[in-house]
Amino acid sequence: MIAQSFLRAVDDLAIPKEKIVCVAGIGCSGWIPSPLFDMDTLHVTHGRPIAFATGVKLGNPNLEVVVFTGDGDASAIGGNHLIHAARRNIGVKVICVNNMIYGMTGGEVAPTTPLGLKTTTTPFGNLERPFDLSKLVIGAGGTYVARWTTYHIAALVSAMKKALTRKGFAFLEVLSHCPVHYGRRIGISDPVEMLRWFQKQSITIEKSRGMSEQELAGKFVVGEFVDIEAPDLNQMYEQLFEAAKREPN
Amino acid sequence: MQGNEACALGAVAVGCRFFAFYPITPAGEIAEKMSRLLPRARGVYIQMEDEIASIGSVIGASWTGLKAMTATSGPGFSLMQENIGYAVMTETPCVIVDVQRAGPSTGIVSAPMQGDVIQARHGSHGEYEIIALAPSSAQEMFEMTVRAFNLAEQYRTPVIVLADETVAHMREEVVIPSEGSLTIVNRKVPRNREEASKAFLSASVAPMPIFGRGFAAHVTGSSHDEYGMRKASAPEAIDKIVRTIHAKIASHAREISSIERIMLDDADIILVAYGSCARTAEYVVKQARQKGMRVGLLRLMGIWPFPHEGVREALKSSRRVVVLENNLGQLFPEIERFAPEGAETVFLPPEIIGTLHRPAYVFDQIAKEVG
Amino acid sequence: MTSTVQAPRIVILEDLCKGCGICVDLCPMKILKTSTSMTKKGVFPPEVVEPAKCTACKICQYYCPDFAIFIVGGPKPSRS
Repeated sequence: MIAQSFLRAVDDLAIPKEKIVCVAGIGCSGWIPSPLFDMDTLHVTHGRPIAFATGVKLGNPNLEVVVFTGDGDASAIGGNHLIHAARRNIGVKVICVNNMIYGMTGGEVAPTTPLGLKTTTTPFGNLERPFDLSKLVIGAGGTYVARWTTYHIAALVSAMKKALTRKGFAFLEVLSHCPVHYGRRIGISDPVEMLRWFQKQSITIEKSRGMSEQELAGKFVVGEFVDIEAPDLNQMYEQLFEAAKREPN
Repeated sequence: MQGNEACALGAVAVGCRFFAFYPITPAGEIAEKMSRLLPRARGVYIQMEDEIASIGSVIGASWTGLKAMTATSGPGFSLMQENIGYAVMTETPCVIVDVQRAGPSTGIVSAPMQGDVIQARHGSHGEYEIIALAPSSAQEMFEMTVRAFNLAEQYRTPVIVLADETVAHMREEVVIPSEGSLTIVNRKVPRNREEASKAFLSASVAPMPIFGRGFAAHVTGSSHDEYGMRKASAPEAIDKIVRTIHAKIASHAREISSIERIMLDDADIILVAYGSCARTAEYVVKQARQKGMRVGLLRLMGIWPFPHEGVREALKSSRRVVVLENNLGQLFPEIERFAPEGAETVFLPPEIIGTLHRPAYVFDQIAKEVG
Repeated sequence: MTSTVQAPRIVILEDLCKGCGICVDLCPMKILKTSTSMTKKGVFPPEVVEPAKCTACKICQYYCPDFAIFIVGGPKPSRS
């Protein structure tokens, strides 16, 4: 669904395929673009797509560089690269497929797994509090941060189009239904049921304002959290190149 | 100038336009110089959040067509290994300068050692071959960095410049060739989409389908075929990858890894050394010759792929081979393998590992044998 | 509202379908139901029960994880 939403966004915006580079991490999300998208795809090592993507975007600023990463890929092993890319405001668009567990490897606990959940490696319940990935990226200075679920396809496509048309870093967290590994552990092993669960549990940021923490417990706050203008890293380098030209040896 | 400075000058001269770095001693001066040289050439200097991101962004930049480099020392080199393996697997040209220092672990940041030799060859998991050059002077820091880029472009592989703290920090005269006189090799790039489709696993090095040209390149670290399409369950695919990538470099060992023969023709005792140890070795050879001893030096300039033909040929008439390394014998077993049947091959580390060999000590060891 | 150029046609690619049932559940006109005959892959794909009622909203198409169902023709939805 995320694959299709992305392709629709690209199609709607009429972005030429030759301009797009999809950088993918390791995990189910990595298989979204690689190798079936008819575009340049770079399927890299676990946790590192954002670092590789930074090199691609700095190497050729004219490319539209999109990262497909998972919650473990982006916030566990890749956490360092995520926060620095947000800080740098490098024009890389990160689509983070968050199923709140490590799916590809069979269902281990992830930094996004809710407290208390029993997974393959927390058979007695998760002892750790999870990240709120969007808050993490906001804290790191992300200039566009949004969260939707795989139920909210229309909003997702809109958000992707926004991410693709604005300058600078973008982080789109997509809470993704994973009936096989996550849903099963909360008693929802049917994909339709899990999508409906997302629908029921989601609340927009606007509606959530004024609600207490208890009222929001277990709910997914969705929407566009941050959308601000700031010079992106490529712009900064351009300025540097111009200044270096003018300066004598 | 300083070796590290010369390395940076060499990189920029041969066309490096992307340098990513994470601060580490004793590679810092390379970064400082690159950060000053690159903006004028519209090149990007970026300080990444760690060494893993440094090599990652270097590989990403290489896929946009840029010549890209990073520099580090032992601890950073260890962190980079996974992505170096990725560069090998995806046939990505790039240069990694490892200024070896005394280890293991944090060790001594500014003491010389040659402890990363095996790591340069096998630091990443999996089976592969790689190119590593060993500069012995500030001049070679310039020349071998240039050569590293040329080899990387020609063979579509990461190349390691295996320097050490001494060579990096020594100050010597460096002759910079005039602009235009430098040999520069550039990667083959496909002319059209059809040519671009078979982008991997050619023994003659496939043209590299750099991004942004409409080639729809499929680059993956997973097992794949010549088209870059993932073949994650067929062992035949990984067999082909392992053999092809290995042969791509190993079969050209003679062209890739150079040796220097110093007074070998009538040599009875041959010293073998590389990097900073070769400087001591050369000095000792000259001293020995003055005393009438028939001593020579085989200096290895490229150490991986191991120049076995050159080594076998150079050592063939020796009676005794003395290998000088600033470690406990990392290249020694390879050298011993190719020493002549009847020769005695000995390993001679410095008296204190983490310092250069004391010339008098080496001389005494050789003189003892001559009697 | 734009006029209908041709009645929308619902195309189902059975070989790509994994029988998740999402399209059946989400169709606002309720014109899809899960078939009782199994595909070669061993799943039960959707089948169209009242094709004339299709408004070409494309929700089935947009939500399908496997690109296995899509709409050809019909009026464009009034909002994207």
